[in-house]
Amino acid sequence: MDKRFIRQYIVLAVLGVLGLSALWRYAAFALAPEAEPASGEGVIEVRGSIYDRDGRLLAVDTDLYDISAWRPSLDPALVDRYAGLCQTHLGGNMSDYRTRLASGPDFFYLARRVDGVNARSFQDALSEAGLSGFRLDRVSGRVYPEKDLAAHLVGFVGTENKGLAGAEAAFEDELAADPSKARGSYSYGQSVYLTVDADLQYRLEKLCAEAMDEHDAEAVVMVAMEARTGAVSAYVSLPDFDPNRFLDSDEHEWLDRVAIYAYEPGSVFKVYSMASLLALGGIDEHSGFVCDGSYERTVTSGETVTITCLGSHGLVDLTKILEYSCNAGAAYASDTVAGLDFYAKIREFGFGERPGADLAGESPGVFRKPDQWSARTKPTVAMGQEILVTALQMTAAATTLANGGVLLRPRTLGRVVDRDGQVSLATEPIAVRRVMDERSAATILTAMEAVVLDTGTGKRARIEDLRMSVKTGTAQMIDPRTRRYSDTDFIASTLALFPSEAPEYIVYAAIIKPRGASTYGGRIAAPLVKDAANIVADLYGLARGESASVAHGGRIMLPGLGPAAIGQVMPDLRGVPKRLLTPLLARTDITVEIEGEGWVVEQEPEPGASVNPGDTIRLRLE
Amino acid sequence: MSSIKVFARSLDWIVVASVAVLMAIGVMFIYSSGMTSDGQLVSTEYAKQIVWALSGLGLMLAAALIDPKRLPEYVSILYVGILVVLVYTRIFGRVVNGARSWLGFGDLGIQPSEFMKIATILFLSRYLEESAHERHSFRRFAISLGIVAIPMLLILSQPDFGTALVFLPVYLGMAFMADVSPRYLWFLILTASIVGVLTVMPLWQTLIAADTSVALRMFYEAPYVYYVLVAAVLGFGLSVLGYRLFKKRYYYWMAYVALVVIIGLGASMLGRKVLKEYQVMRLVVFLDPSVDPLGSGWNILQSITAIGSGGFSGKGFLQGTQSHYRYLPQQSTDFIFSIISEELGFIGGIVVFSLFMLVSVRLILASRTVNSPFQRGVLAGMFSMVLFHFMVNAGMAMGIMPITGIPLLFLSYGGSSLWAACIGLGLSLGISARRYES
Repeated sequence: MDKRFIRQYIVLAVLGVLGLSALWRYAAFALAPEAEPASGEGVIEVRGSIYDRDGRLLAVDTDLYDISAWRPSLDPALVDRYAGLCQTHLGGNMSDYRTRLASGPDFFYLARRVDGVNARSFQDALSEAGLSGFRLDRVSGRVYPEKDLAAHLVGFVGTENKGLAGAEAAFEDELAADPSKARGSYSYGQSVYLTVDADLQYRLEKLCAEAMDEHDAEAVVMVAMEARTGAVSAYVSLPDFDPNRFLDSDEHEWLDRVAIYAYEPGSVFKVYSMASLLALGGIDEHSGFVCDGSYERTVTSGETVTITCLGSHGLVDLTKILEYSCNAGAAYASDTVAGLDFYAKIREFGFGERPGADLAGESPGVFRKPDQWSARTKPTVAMGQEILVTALQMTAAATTLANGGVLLRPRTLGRVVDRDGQVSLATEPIAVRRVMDERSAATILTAMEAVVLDTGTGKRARIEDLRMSVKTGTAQMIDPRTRRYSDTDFIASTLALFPSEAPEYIVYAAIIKPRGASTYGGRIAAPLVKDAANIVADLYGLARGESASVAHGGRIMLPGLGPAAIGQVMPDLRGVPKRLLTPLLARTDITVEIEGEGWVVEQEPEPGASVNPGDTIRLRLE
Repeated sequence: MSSIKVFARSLDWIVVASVAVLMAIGVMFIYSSGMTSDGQLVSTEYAKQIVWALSGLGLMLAAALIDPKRLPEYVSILYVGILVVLVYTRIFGRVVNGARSWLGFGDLGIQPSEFMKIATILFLSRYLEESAHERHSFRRFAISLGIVAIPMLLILSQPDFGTALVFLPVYLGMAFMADVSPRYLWFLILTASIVGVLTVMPLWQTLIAADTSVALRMFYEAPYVYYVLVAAVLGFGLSVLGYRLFKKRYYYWMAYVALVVIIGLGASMLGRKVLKEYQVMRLVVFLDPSVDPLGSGWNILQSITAIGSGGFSGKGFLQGTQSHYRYLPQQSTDFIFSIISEELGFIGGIVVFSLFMLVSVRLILASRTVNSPFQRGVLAGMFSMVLFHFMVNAGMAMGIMPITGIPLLFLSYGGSSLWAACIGLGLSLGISARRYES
């Protein structure tokens, strides 16, 4: 056979092999049970998003770009032009870019984690100008669209998108994508909905920032909580940071002053010490004590304990102790019960234990056991010193007053939702324990209403058409250098529950180390809480004397759409585009009939109906 | 009368029957594709296709009657004539699907590019036959390539990438059979591969590999690509000089490689300039359709789903969900293979595959016993065309070939493509039927 024919046979053989391999591939596709791509390898992991309670995005995964330059490709004559482009599109300082472009290593990063819009505009500008030598690399990154809003609560991630703080760390397991459950080449984590309301959070943060500025304070903390559920609606800890660039901040800004920072609460604590005494039966609403300007008692060892009061209040009962914030009265009242009982009851309010508010880290505070107490400790604890608490504990303990003596666990997690929109974890109010009877709770609440009277310390918190139960406090702080109470450092705080007849919201604020004209809780913290209460009442449409308005948030929630899925229960598919219905057609247990083009406008069965194998689902599209 | 009888006896009825079955399947599934989920017929394409299929069969038999020995006399005029029509179409034609490829008279229209394929096969066969004893092997290669390149570039400018692409394998197959020197054919193959790969490389790197390799970047990213180009030009110049001076073979091959690189790089730079990103995207997305599942990758993913859901024996005629819910795009043309697979399953696919293989094998077997180089060329050209159409179209449906919009011959909806294929195959049948005549 001549060479020519051999060649032809070779070509035919190659064609035959190609044909057979195509056939093989075809058989693999057609005969494979389900052509799901293999999981694990090469799967793009998309971390779940974090939302506020209404679905406003607080943290989301996105494509970011690292922009690098390769010096040998840069034209040294054009440095000014490069730097100008960098400044326009990437932000930053022109002269800084100029120096970095002018000399240094051959390969260097101009900017890292630049968002897609800026990166693309930079790239377009480069190609328009015909400049080369720059390079954009896509990296997966976390973006916090609301920047510093609720930053301590939301937290942040480190490299490799692992949560380091806040909800990012607390719900790492839920948020992280599980590559073994990949769909196609993507694997999605679950979404976390927090209880905070971004709207309220924003307004209260603004309010606190103004207060911090006005009083030249080191920090301001504020917590707003739903009194009947324990859900935290606002979680303000200032100073804060931008989780997008958390490395630009320091520990002072990272410190979560709501749940981690522990301090002596001062007179606000009288609410809980008096409630404890009431619950223990040491006092009742008519018990009277005489305040002549100080508390004095000689203990068995012969030592005399003296606690001075702010004034000479005369005969005081429970209401007056709270109204005037009478130290001597509170101290005398504490003599009616044993130290161990007092300690145990205060522990029941949640002090000295971690609240369990779904956070990555919580401080239990410090509350020494009675065997370590000095003679001064019991009367001192009664007025809120010699005990370290967190703002979260202070707020959560107030749920006992709003719920007839039952302590609720504070919550920051609303629900966890998987990629299909199915709620995989929903939280409900958790009752921790009964701390006192209903009557005692009502008594304290009523007594706290006196605080906003003209004679009370909290008169600046008064809102004319809203009944409020308030307690203010000005706490002394230990100066770590002298180990004595400081003459200049105070914490001014105020607690408010409203409306008093049946509290729905709790607002607690503490201004740490104010340096302004006044450092008193009644002067600076009470107005802050008043403003906050006004905002809360308006936002959630609390019934008030003057306002007849029925407020609507004005926002409509649009959930993100994923491919449609039907489980045991018929979901609401209305509005779902046809393309996302594809997976339904693959179902063998139920029949799905689609009529028309566009989006689902009608469905049968109705949302919520149960779906059983063999059922027929009818969807009409328009 | 008796000559007709003899002719009828020697005609390859197996091919005729195969084509008829393919056409029938085509009509069936064009009908199926025009059906919506609730059983409404929204398209009358199938009725037109019946007319075209029947007239196509007639044309095929009529073409088979033409005496292949007299055919070379007409091929020049045919080639030039259709080329003129093509130029006219390019300028005054109707734009359909973004390409100025239609010549319409009212509702009727034809795509001259489809007929150009057949005319080119015929004309090229004639040239290759006449130039068989050409002393200058490069000259023969260049002219024959030119014959193909002119219509190919015209069609490319319409722009109809898929149809233009068919000319390449047709040329390779015919030139190979006509003993054009393999080194030139390799040159063409290598250059075309480089152009193809480098054109899609940047997008592939950023989108699918998602990890750009520095070693590859020098082939497409300015200014490195210019350095490579300059180096290749220098290398070519030196090699030519070396060959002139020392007459050593390896200088020849060095120049050969350098030239491949120069043309490959140059053409790919041009390609990246001319092609829009979404066009390149369509060519490259088959490598990983999930990078753009609702966009460019949609067609492929839906097609694969259709094939996968068909299983071994399919969902049954008119029972496919992918097609009737209209998830499958272009289901009566480019993706008809997917509907067949969904409704008839693997078996249906195998039947179509076997029928095409049967036609191809009969063509190539016939070419072995044909004496005239012209006739052999026609058979080789038709073989290449049928095989390439089938492989690329089926491969596209399976997601192993880029989306190029090449129809499945005899099955896909469309008159021009069907008639052209029928005429071409008819001429081939005529050749094979008369191969033992003296």
